[in-house]
Amino acid sequence: MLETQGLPSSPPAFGDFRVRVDPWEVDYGDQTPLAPSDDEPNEQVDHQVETKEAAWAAITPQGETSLPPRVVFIDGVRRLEVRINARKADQLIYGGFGSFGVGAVDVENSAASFGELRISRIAVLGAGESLPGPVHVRKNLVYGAESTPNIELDGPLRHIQKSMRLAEATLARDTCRDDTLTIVDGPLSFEPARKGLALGYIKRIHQLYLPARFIPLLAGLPAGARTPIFSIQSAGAGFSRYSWFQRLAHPGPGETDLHGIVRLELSANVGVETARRLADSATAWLPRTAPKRARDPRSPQNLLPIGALEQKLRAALGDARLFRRWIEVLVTKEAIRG
Amino acid sequence: MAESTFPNNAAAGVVLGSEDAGPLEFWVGVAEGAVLELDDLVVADVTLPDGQVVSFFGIVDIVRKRYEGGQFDSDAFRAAEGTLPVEVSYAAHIQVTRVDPEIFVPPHPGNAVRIVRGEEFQRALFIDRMEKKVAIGHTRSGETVFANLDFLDGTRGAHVSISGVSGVATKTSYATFLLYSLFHSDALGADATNARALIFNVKGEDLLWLDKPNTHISATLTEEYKTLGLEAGPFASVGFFAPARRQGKVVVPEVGSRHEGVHPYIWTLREFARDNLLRFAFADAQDTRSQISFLIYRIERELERAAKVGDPKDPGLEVHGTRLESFDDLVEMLDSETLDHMVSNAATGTLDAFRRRLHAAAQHMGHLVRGDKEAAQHRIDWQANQVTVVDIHTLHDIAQMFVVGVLLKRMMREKETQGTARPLVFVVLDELNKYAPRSGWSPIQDVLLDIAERGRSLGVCLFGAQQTASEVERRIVANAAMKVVGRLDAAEAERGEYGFLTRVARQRATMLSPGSMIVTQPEIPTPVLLKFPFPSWATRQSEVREDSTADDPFART
Repeated sequence: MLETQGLPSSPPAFGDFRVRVDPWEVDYGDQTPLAPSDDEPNEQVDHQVETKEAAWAAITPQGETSLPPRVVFIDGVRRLEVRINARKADQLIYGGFGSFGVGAVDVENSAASFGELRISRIAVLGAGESLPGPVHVRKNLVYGAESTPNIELDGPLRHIQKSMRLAEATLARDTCRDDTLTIVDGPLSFEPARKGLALGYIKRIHQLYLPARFIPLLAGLPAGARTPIFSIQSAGAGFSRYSWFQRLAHPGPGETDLHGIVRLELSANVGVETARRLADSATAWLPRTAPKRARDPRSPQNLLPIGALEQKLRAALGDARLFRRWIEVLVTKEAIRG
Repeated sequence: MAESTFPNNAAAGVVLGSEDAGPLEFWVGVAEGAVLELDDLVVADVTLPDGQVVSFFGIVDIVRKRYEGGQFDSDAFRAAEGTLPVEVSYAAHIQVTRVDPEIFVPPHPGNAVRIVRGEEFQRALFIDRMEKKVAIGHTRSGETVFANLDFLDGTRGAHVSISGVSGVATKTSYATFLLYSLFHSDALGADATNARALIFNVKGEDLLWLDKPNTHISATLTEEYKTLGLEAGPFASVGFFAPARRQGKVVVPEVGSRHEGVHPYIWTLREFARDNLLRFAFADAQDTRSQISFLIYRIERELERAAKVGDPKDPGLEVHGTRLESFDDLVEMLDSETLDHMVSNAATGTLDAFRRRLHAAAQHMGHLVRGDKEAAQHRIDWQANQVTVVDIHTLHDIAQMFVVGVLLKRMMREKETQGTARPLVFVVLDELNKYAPRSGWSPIQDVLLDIAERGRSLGVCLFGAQQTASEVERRIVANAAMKVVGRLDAAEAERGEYGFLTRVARQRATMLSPGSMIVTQPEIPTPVLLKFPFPSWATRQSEVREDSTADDPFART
C-alpha cells in the first residue's frame, strides 16, 4: 500500500526543483524553540493603569465574578513532517512539508465541548521560492505550495508557525459573538472586531514587562490572585493591550517561584473597567480549569480545555510517520523519473 | 464518529479501524444520535475491488462507551464540571453470524453498518434458508425468531435441552410455548394432525389447565402471538391423567384443584408382569454391576411367563399357583419362599437387598398397580388427544420414576412397532437430572438414552428440562439439537456443558428475567436471546377465564 495513488503521470510534481528529503528526523534540526518569537520587543509598558505604583500589591478577587455566558478557547498545533532540500541550478533552498490544525473548545452552560477544527497542510520553500502547485501525496493528502522569504533552515517551520497563528486568529474572529469570551493560546494577535471579548493567554513567561522590583511581588503571588493591570503598547501588534499576571496554582516545593504564573492580555480599547472585571473573573475562574500535575506535564499552565484540544488536533493531523513515508516515496519516484 | 451523519435511518455507525476488523468479529463505532444495543442484528455491506458486495451479518454482543483518548478516571469529574471537553466513543462489538456470499475478507474500516429488520433480519440468522420453520420467540425489537423444524422432527436432528434455575417457571413455560407454536401454527403441515405430545406434570398443577384460556389475555398479548403467527388461546386438544387415589376400591384421580376432565391412571398386574415393568419400581440410580438387576431380570421373566397364562383381559394373574390381585399380593409372594424357588441360586444378601427395596417401592407406587376388576380400563391413552398431560406431582420420587419409565418405554415400543418416524411424538420432561443422572444407572436412563439416540429416527423428540445440565447424562444433553438456557446459577453457567454460550451470553444467563431465554440452534452460529409471550392458556385455577366453557368447543364439561 506504499505506492502513491491517484497521481497524474505528468507533469512532474516539483517542477524545476530537484527536491530531496533530508533523511534526518525533523526533530534533529529543531534545536531552537520557536516560542520566543511570539514575544515582540520594542514595547512600552505602563504599569499604573489600574493602580498607582505605591499601591501595587496582589489582588485576590472578592465576591461574585462573572464571565460572559460563553467562553471559547482557541488553540493550534503544528508540526513538520519532512524537511526537504530543493535545488534549482546553483541555488539550494530549505523547505518542508508540514501540517497544522486549529480548533475551538466551547464552554457554555457548564459544559465543555469541541467546536470547529481546521486542518491545513502546506509544502513550504524558503528564499521566496515556491513549488509549482499543490503536491498530491495521496488522493486525500494534498499539501498546498507556499513560500517564505526566509533562507534559514528554520524558515519553513517558522512559516508554518506563523500560518497556524494566522489560522487561530481567523478561527477566533469567526467564533466571536457578543456573548463570547475568546481565549487564545499565546499573545493576542488580533483585535476582536466589535463583537465579544478576546483574551490572550501566555503560559510561559519569557518577558516580565514589569520593572525588576516587582519580581518579589510576582514570586509571592498567591494562587487565585493577580497583579494589577498594566498596559503594553508595542510597535509590531499595532494596538495597545491591557495585561496582568495571575497565579493558577502554588508551586510545589523546589519548584521555581514563577511556576503556575500566566500572563493574560486583552485589547485596550475595551476600557479599564471592563478589563478589571474580566481580570477578576479570569483570576477566579481559570485556576478551576488547570490540570493536576499527574494529568499534564505542563500543569498547571496548560489548561484542561487547551490540553484536550491539542490532543484532539494532534489526532486529527494524522500519523506523521505514515505521511513522512508517503512523501519519501513520492520524492523518490520523482527523483528516479529525473 | 461524532462527525458522521447518516441519511439512512437504519444506519447505526461505521466499522472501526482502531480495533482489528475481521470477517468473524469487528467493532462498530456508533454514530451520534444512533443507538445500538445488545442483541441488535446488523449488517455491513462491503464492496470488494471487483465490485462484488459481501454482506457481513452479525449480532451485537458488547456495547461500551468511554471518553475517547481519555487517560484519567478523574476526567469524568472535570468533564462533568464543564472544564474538560471530552468526546464519548460509543462502540459495539459484532459477532458475525453470516457472511453472504461466503468470502471471508475483513470488512473495511469506515464501512457503514446498519441495523437489519424484517427479511434481512431473517437472513442474518439463516432463517431464510429454513424450508420448514417454527416460531420460537421474538427479539426485544419484535423480530420473530424461528427454529428449523428439520432439527426438531428428526430429519436432521431432534430434541431440545432447556436449562435454568427453578422457581421462575420459565423452563416449563417455554417448553409448553414451543409445543403450542408447533401445534397451533402451520409449521408441522400435514404431520400436525397425528403428532402427539406427552407432558409430565412434575411440579404444582401448572400444566393441568392447558385447555383453558388465560384471563390475562389482553389485546397486547394477542398481538404478540399474532406477530409470531399464532392465535392466543388454550391448547386445542388435551387429555389429562392423574394417578389413582391410594384409598378406595373405585378408581378416582388424585387431584387438587381440577376435577373435571381428569382421568385416573393405573396399571393392571397383568400389564405389569407382561411388559416387564418390575425394573421401573427399582428405578433409582444404582450400580450396573449390582446383582439386584440380574435378580430383577429373572423375576420379570417369571412374571412374564405367568402373564401369558389365563384370560389376557383379566387384570390379575396367577404366579406359581398364587392368585395375585394387588401389588401387596405380589410383594407378599416375593417375600415368601416362592422367590427362593424362582431364583434358586441367589445369595441371601442379594435377596434381602431386593426385598428391602421392593418394600420401599411398594409403599410408594404399589397403589398404581392393581389386579382387581376396577383396575382395567385406566390405561393412559397418550394417542387420544394431541397433548396428553400426565400428572405425577403428587407422587413420591420412586412412583414418579415408575410412571415416567413405564410410559416412555411403552411409547417407544409402540413407535418401534409402527416402524415409521411419523406421527411425531414430543415428550416434555422436567427434572431430567433426576431421571437420567450423570452418575449411576437406572432403567429410565436407559429409556431416555434410547430416546436421545434413536428418537430421531423414530420421530420422538424430547423436550428435556433441568436445573443443571451438568448433572444430566452427557449423551442426552449432547444429542439435543436445540439448547435453551433460562436464568442460570453463576457457578453453573461457567460449566463446560454451556460451552455453546459465548462469554457474554454466560454473564447474561445469570441475570435473565422470566420470559427471556437464550437459544442456540445448529444452523445459527451464535446464541440468540429471545422473549416468548406469556402463556395464553391458564397455568393455575385463578387464571382460568370463566366464560371459557362457552367459548371453547374443546372444553370438557
